[in-house]
Parts: sequence; structure tokens; C-alpha cells
Amino acid sequence: MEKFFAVFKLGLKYLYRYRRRYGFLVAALIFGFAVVTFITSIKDSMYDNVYYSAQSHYAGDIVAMGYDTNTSKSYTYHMGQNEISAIINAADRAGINPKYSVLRTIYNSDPSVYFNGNAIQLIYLIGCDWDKETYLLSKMNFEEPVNLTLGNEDIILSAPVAHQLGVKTGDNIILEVKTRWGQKNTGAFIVSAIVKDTSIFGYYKAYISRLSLNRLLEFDDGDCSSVGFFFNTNNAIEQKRRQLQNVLSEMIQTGPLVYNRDQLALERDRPWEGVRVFLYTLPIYLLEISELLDAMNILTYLLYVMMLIIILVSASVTYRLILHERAKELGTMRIIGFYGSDLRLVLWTEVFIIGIISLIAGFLLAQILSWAVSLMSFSWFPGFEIFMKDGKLLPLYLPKTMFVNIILVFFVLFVMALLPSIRATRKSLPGLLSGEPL
Amino acid sequence: MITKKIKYQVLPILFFFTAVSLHAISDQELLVKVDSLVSYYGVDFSAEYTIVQEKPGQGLSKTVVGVFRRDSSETYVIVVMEPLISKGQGYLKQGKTLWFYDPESRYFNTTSNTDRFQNTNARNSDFTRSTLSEDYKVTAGEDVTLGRFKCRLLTLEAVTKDVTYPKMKAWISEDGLLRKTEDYSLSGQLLRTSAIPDYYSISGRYVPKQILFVDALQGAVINGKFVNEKTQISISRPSFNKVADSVFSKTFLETVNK
Repeated sequence: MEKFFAVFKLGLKYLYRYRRRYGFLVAALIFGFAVVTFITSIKDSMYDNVYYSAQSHYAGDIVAMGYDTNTSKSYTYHMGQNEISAIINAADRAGINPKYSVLRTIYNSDPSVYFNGNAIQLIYLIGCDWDKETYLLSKMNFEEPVNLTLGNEDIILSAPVAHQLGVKTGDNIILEVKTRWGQKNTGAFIVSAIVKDTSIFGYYKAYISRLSLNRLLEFDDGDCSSVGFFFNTNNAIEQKRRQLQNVLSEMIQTGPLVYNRDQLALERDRPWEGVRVFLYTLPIYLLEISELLDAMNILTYLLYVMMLIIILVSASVTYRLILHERAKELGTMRIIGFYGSDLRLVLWTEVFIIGIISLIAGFLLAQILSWAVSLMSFSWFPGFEIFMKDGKLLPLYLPKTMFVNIILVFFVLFVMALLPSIRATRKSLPGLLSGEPL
Repeated sequence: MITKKIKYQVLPILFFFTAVSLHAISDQELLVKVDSLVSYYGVDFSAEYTIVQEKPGQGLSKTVVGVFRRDSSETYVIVVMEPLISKGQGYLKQGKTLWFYDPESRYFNTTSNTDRFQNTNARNSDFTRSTLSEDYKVTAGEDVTLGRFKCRLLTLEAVTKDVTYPKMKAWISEDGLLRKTEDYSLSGQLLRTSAIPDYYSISGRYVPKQILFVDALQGAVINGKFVNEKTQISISRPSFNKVADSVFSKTFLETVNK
């Protein structure tokens, strides 16, 4: 052990002595690691924000959505007690073990809110069970501190709606919807909270209690549009969906499993009678965004690999030169009693420390880049808010992504240092001392 | 003696018969009469509608449309002539389907009778024939005075789910013409008031000269006073001449402005 520390110390000293020679190699590695860490962490953060927005919007990792033809339109998002019980029972029988189950009524046929003569047409009106959605509500970013003990007369508005309408917390507003049969219905609500959500999911959105919305739409009190299941992790979600589909399709009328929006649209356009339930996972809604981010990821890694190849080639040449210059020194060390393995350990220690320094400095540089980006406004980019958290583009360092990035740096260093160092330490003593090429 | 007899016996009887004759038809029958006076079976109807919308604080916007109705086949066509930006847009009602044509995209899309007409306070359903007696039942009626008109005020409740407003109040003058309505939501919120002060009388048929819609919820506070959003429809050049069959088709809308 003592020998190991001595060799490690020697490696550090040699690295310091040859710091100018290693300068280019370290700079290239720092830059490469910083750029890739910056891009991948921003990409992971963007996907995470999109996933969270979608998860809170659709209320679940797996969502059972009911389409009911018993309405004035081609269909309405609706299911009755029969379907709800079947879905809950099927989830039990399929053994998917959700962490939470959430029932929501969703209305998106141009609901409007009125205040002092101003009118705003909403895109989404969500009816939720306040007490069962504290998990989602507590994650919302409200303009003012909110008491989340909400009732049937309360309404939560997204900030853009509240600002355009000119309301503040405590104001009374009128909400107008069409019943499932197409007649106009209204309700008076108190603005209980204003949520900062400027994403595409939240821009023109409001939340009221499920019971209030059901009554406005002339649904039965216990009815809903969707049953959402949340899980501890989003691993094997697709497998759980298939399990649930297998059980559920034996109990009620279900639509086939769809894997993207086009398939979904196609299936929704097929005629059917009564209530048909579709099971969705979030990637179906997010496929386009997911594909965009994956493409961005592939581009990033392509860039990274190209940088690594350039670094590898130039670093190999540099490293061979460094070893060539140190050949006599290595020969002298052999003469005074160092074994070949000791010399290799010294050389690898140098390389390992170069790797560690590059990672730390690269990470710091990535942090600086991320900080700079977080100060930038992306308001000129329509819809970009969906990728941001609290209005900022922030990095997310996922262990898996960071592990891949770190492994790639060490892989380059390993490839660069392994062969030349073995050759140098195995070379005959006269060859080393006479300055023969390695 | 005779004067006394007239005063105490004949006048009450006369008054009774006058009252009975006024209400000789039931309130529901009155609705049928209202519908029949402004429905044009057996003939086609065409006119030019000038729609002026006033958004308080935002000024006026004007839309001119040509309306062609054939009530016997429950169809109508509306062609937008002004403003220039909307010129060529059109509506075609065929059975229960209402098509909207956009010359920019050259596509027909279905729209709803309950939707706003060209983003004004009028609804697409305001251009169809009157179907009050088919869509509503009378739940209460009383005699009232509305300006210069003696009216029967009827409180109506929808009997079909297809109507935009599930509750309504209708003021009907003695001549059986609709003079004012108040449209309510299912929960009883006043949403819109409409007034029809004058009608054209053409060969026993009646055509409104002007219709005023006042939105109860939309408007703005001007100088500390709430001013409602309004839309006024002025109808000119009404005609009951035969309209070519080809007008009531998608092809007509596609070619009308070419």
C-alpha cells in the first residue's frame, strides 16, 4: 500500500512537471466534457419538464380515457360508474400497483371565463378532486401562497388567463361551458389561486372541482373523463399498460393500444357506440417532443464522439511525444529498481489524474454555461416555456447520462494511454536509454 | 237605469270577452304563431344583412352578408361580402349539418349552430327559421308593456337538448311578433338580450328590419359605467323571389367569388 501511495505521489509530481505538455490534452478534454455535459443536462431537463407538465396535465403515467358518443358532438370525454369500476378492478387484477389513482373530468370545447366584461376562452378546463390531487397541486408554482383546502366554488386559473382577465385571488368570475348536449351552462366561482404555467398545456387552463364540472356538463356526480395511474418510476410503463389492457378489454369496450398521435386520431375517427376506453402512456402524447429531444441527443453525442476522436488522435500523438521525451528518464527509473508495472502505474496515475481534473473543470465550465443560459429569455421562441422550469432553462444531471459522459472521457484516455505506456515500459533498457522510437 | 245596467252588467261581460279573445289562443299556440309569421314555407327568402358589432372601447366592426333561406327544406346559405378579409367565406346548412367554407384554405368544415357568427354576438342559429314552439315549452306567461307594445311575456324552457339556450324569456306583441328575448344558461344566468323593434310586412309575411343583440357578460367599464358589447343586424332588400337550387350547394360557395 505504501508503495502504491509512493507511486501515486510520483505520478502527481511527474504530471506537474510535464503540465505544459499535457496542457492541450487537458484543455481539449475539459472543453469536450463541458459541452456534452451542458447539452445533455439541458436536454434531460427539457424532457423532464415536458414529462412533468404532461403528467400533471393528463394526470398519470398511464391514463384511461373514456370517449362517449352519447352527446351532441361526435364524442365527449366521459365515462360512467360502470367504466370507472371496471378500470379500478382491472388495475387490481392486472397487478400494476399504482402509487396514486386520479379521476378527472376534462372539458376542452371552448369553455369561457368572464370578469368585468372581459372574456377569455380556455383551451382546457380540468375537473379534479382537490383532496386526492394534493401531490400535483403541491408541485404547482402559485403566484401567491395558497391554502389548498379547496371547495366546489373554487377555481384555479393559469397566470396568462388571470392576467388577461384582470382578476386576482378572491375575485368572483363566471365560467361558461356547454353541457354534454350542447346547451349553455354557467357557474359562479371564486378565484382561489393563480398558477404560473405558461406551457402549451397550461396557457389557457383552469381547474375546478370534478363535482362542479360534472354538474355543469350534466354528467352524473361520480362520473369522470379519465382515470390516471401514477407509478413510483416510469420504468416498464408500457408493459403495465399492456397488462391492464389485457384485463380491461375483457370487461368493457376498449380501443386498441396506440403508440402515437396519428394512430390515436385514426382510432378516434372510427365509429363506435357508447363509451370506449383508450389506455395511453405519456410518450404517445409526447412522441414528437421525445423524438425531437432524442434527435438532439444523437446530434450531441455525434458531436461528442467527433470531438473525442479528434482529441484521441491529437492526444495520442502528444502522449507518444511526451513518452519519447521521457524515454531516458524511464530507463533511469528502471535502472534504479522500478519494475515495468511500477512505471505503468506512474503513467496511468498521470492519465487518471488528467481525467479527474478534466471532469471537474469540465463540469464547472458546464455549470457556467448553464448559468448563462438560465439568464436568457426564450420568449421569442413560441411554446418554448414547456421546456423550462419557473421560466428558466435549467440543467438536470441524471446519474445515467453523467455516467455515460464520464465513461467516454476515460475510454478516450484509456485508449490513448494504454498501448504507448505498455510499449514504453516493456521496451528493453538499452533501447530506452539510447532514445529508440517507442 | 239602462246606464247602470251597462256599467254593472254589460261592461264586465265585454271586458271578459275582450280578455278571453286576447288569450283566445294558449301561450303555446302563441309560440306557433310567432314561428309561422317569420317562417317562409313555399317560398325562398333572400336579403342583405349588415351586422355591426360594437365592442366598448374598441370601436365598431361591420360585416355584410347575403342570406338565402329555403325553409321548406331546412336549408340556408350565407355568403360574407364584407369585410374584404372575410370575403367569400360562407355557411351552408344542409339538414342538421352546418358547413363553413373558407376560401383561403378552400376547405369545408362543420361548425355548430350554437357557435358565434363571425365572432359577433349573433349565433349561427339566429339565421335559421324560428322554431320556438318546437324547441320550448311555456312555463309561465303574463301581460306586460314593452315600450309602445302591449306584450305577452312568456317564460320558456327547452324541450329539446339541441338549443343553445335552455331557458328563455320572450316578449310577444299583440300582432304575434317577437319583440324581445332574454336568453339564459341552464343555471339561470342571463347571457344575452335581443330586441326586434320593427318588421317589414311583405305579402302577409314578416321580416325583421333590425335585430339588436346585447351580450350580458361581455363589455367594458367606460367612465366608471359598464357598457355591454352589442351587435346590430340591419336587414335590407328582403325578397321572396325564387332562389336557384344551385345556390344551396357547396359548389355555389366555392365559385361565388371567383
